[in-house]
Amino acid sequence: MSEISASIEETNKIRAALGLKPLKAGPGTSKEGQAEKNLTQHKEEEARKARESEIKAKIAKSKYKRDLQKTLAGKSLGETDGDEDDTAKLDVHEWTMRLRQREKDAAARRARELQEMDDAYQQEPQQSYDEGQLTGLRVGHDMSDFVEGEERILTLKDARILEENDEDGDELINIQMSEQKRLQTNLENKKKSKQPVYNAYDDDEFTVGKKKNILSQYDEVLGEETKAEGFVIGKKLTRRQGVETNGALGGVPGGGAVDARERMLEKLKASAVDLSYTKNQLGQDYYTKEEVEVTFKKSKKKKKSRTRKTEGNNWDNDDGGGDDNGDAMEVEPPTPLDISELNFVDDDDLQASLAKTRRLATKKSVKKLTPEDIAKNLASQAMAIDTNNEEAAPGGLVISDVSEFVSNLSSASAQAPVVAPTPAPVMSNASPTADAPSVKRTTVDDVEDEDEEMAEPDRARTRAVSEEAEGASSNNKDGSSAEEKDHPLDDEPVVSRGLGATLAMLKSRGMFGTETAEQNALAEKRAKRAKFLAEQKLEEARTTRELEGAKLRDRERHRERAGRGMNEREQRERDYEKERREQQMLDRRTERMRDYEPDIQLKYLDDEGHELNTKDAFRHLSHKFHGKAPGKMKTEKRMKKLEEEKRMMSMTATDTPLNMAMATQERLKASGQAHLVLAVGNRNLVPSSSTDAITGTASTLRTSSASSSSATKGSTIGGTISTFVSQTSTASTAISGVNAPNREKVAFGLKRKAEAAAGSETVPKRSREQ
Amino acid sequence: MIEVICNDRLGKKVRVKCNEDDTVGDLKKLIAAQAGTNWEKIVLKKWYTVYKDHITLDDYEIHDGMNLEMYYS
Repeated sequence: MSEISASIEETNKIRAALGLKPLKAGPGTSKEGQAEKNLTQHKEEEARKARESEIKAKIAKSKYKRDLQKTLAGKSLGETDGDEDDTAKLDVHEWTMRLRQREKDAAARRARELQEMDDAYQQEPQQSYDEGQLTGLRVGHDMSDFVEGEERILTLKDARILEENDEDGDELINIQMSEQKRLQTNLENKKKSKQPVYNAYDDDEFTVGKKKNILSQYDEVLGEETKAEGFVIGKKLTRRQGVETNGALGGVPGGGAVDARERMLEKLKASAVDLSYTKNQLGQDYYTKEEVEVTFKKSKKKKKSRTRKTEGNNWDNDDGGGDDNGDAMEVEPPTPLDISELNFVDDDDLQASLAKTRRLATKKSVKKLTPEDIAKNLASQAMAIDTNNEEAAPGGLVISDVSEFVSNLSSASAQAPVVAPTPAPVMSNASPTADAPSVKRTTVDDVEDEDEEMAEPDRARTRAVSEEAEGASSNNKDGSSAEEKDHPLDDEPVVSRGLGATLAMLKSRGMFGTETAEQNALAEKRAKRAKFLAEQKLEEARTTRELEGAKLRDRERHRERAGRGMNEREQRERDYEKERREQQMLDRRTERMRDYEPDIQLKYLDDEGHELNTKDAFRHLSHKFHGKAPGKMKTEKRMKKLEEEKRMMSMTATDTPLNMAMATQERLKASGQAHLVLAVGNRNLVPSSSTDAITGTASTLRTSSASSSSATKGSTIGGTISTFVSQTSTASTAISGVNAPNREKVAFGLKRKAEAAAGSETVPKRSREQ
Repeated sequence: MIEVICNDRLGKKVRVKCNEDDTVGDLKKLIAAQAGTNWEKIVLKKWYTVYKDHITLDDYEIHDGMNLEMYYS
């Protein structure tokens, strides 16, 4: 494909035909044209620069020449010393005459000078070239380089003749010494280049004083001579008085040490560290380099003072205050723990800076108050205090009636399934007249049930006994029982008041729930069965009596006949009679058994007499069948579980499973405070005395639980029951104080009820005083 | 003076010399004169931009050596 193109002329022709102006001449904006223009411009620029530099060089040259001329002032050899204008006009004769004259003059001057020198020598023969002549001369070596008594020949250092060395003037050096110096520096440089830049041990910790700069190994400038060395003869001599001058060259031998001291001073000044930093510096996001270098001073770690407060631990001896309530009242409240004394903050710097930040923040927030504002604030505060007296400030964990009730609910629901299957024996035990028609529930098998009853309700009986004792000890409670009735957090119920009370207690503890329709039906069935059995017995007795009577009659008749002699017919008659009677009896029995409904219960018991559920029963059966019992661990585990269940049953209704409420009570009583410090700060530290207190509480708890368990077992009722009773009584009386109208709300706020025996009315008053 | 190459990709490629201050219409006339078509039938495009007749090449930033698409309406 070929391009269609036209030359400029052709295009111009076309344009003219179209009525357009002709094309602009030249490359104009075309790229080539631009390039050309650029090139020429660049060339011009370069040429101009070259010209300028040339001119500059010329100027410099001429300047240099002029300077030279200045130093070489005067006439040159070829020039005559007379007026230069005439030299051209001089003829030979005159020139020779002048030369001779000049020679004569020169000779005369020389003679005069010699004469003068001779005169001077004769006048002052002892005057010599001494140290006085050397004053002001610079020596290019350090004063310490010259050893006393050593002879050194100093020469003038090479310098450019024409360039005036304005600052230094002439300098004296010893060639050997300067050579030695150069060699030394070379060696040092070599050594330095061989050493690695990074040194592992050259850390911040090991540097003393000022920190090194970054990449300080490159700070040295190559080829730069140190000019600090050297001294000026006579200069320091005049400055420092009293320094003896016995050097051959008039140097100062003691000056080396002085110099070294000065250098040391300079070095120390360079490495000085500013000690006046602000101690409590606020933490900032960004630091300048100087600020970073000022690091925190490391504080010495203080040893924690772990002194125990012995006087605060008097509750340790106090056996839970269970012995005597009067004593418990008289327990003097120990001095409250001063938290500021306990030293559990070890980072002083951190604390200080934090405190400062806090202070600043408060300062910022607090504006300047006018007197009017202050007055207003005071008035409002007074009003607020009045209102606050009635309602306590919110905050903290509050253990109230409601929360306690809820926790009890959950524990009761946990107990319910465990305890539910054993209500019947307790019932039957409570009503010894099982066959009386008024009682509806009886057992299926008397003999079997008797055993169960003996085993199971022991616990209930012992509980009843203990409760009875408690009831006796706290008689005054009956008066206040009416107002307590509606309260969920009640005392341990009293069983001694009768069967109803016992039933209510059991129900409240979830020992058995309310009866369902199924249970009702079952109970009815059982009642029927009991009735049937009773009737059966009666009937049986009657029939046996009848049978007995008939037999007796038979025998008498037989005896009568025996005298007469018995024939065969009589004998047959008698047998028949016997048969008929028996048949009659059997018929009656079947008649009676017509509406017999057997109540079948499949119960599986293990070797200890515990009732087993289906799963356990199967397991038991399986073990028996295979002759292989579970291992020791498993057996122990199972026993533990059973034990736990038992403990759960014997637990007090008003406390948590671990008796925490009681423990808290005791702790509060011991500390004499209405609150309990669980932890301090975000480190969860507990002050030492409080930990003591807690362990102490644990120990008392252990004893109390032990005693309670023993009491429930009923093995040693006589000895242990008394302590158990007293403890429960204190707990119950303490809890009665929770009803107090205004509660103290603190971090772990359970009320303190150190005194209880004075009656439940005094407790609220007491707490209000606190 | 600039040179613009117009190609219709159907066998016609026209190299046109023109001034920068010429309008697109003038360019079209020149093209038409060289290629032998009616200038009013020519549509000049670059991608999807259709050049309008009354605007100068300078304003469209059409420079020396640029390629334009040529269509016929």
